[in-house]
Amino acid sequence: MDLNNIKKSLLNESHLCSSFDCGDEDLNDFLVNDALNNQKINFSVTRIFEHKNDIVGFYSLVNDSINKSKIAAEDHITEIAYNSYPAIKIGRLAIGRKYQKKGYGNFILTNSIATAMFYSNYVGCRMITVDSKVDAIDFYKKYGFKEAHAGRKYNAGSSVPLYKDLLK
Amino acid sequence: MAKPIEIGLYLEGEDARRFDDYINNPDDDTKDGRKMMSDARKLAKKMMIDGFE
Repeated sequence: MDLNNIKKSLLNESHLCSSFDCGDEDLNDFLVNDALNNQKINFSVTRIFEHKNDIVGFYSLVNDSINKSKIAAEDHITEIAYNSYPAIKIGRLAIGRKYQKKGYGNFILTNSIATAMFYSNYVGCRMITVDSKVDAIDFYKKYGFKEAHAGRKYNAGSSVPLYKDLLK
Repeated sequence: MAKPIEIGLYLEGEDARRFDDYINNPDDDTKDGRKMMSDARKLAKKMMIDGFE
């Protein structure tokens, strides 16, 4: 893995997205058909990672929030008495087939978290959230992400919400 | 069109309690998670100095 030759840039019309294949049709479809439009309407912003003009992977970020129901005081002592937490969501993250299992997922996830940390210096943001594909849950859990709904069963193709505290 | 990105996570009952436990326990992370957060912090600091690429 040669990370020194990875070029990062915001998605634009010049990127050759149609050749990207991560093995998941929905993620491919998102990059090819939706990501740029989402960016134009300020819904999500996509960052592309390339090696010699070949797309290694991408992530798309959007503002998010975690809202939790109140818990009885006798049940629990909370250090911070907030019921909503500002977050940045990794709406989509994908690695091209030929770059999978080579450490690029770690690299791109680290970059997405660093971006959230960078912006948290300007706008309050405590959590990072992600909607994971079912087969990628273990990847996020390896890095300390927590499943939002413990014990829930998901069908293949479902999105599974996970979160991680940026202060960890 | 791909499945839209959904915004807003709502936690109730046991999920909310688990979230509170997590938030209030600074040591609740994996070894790989700690390394990733440390690397991300260094990268974020570099972004502050060099500007966001």
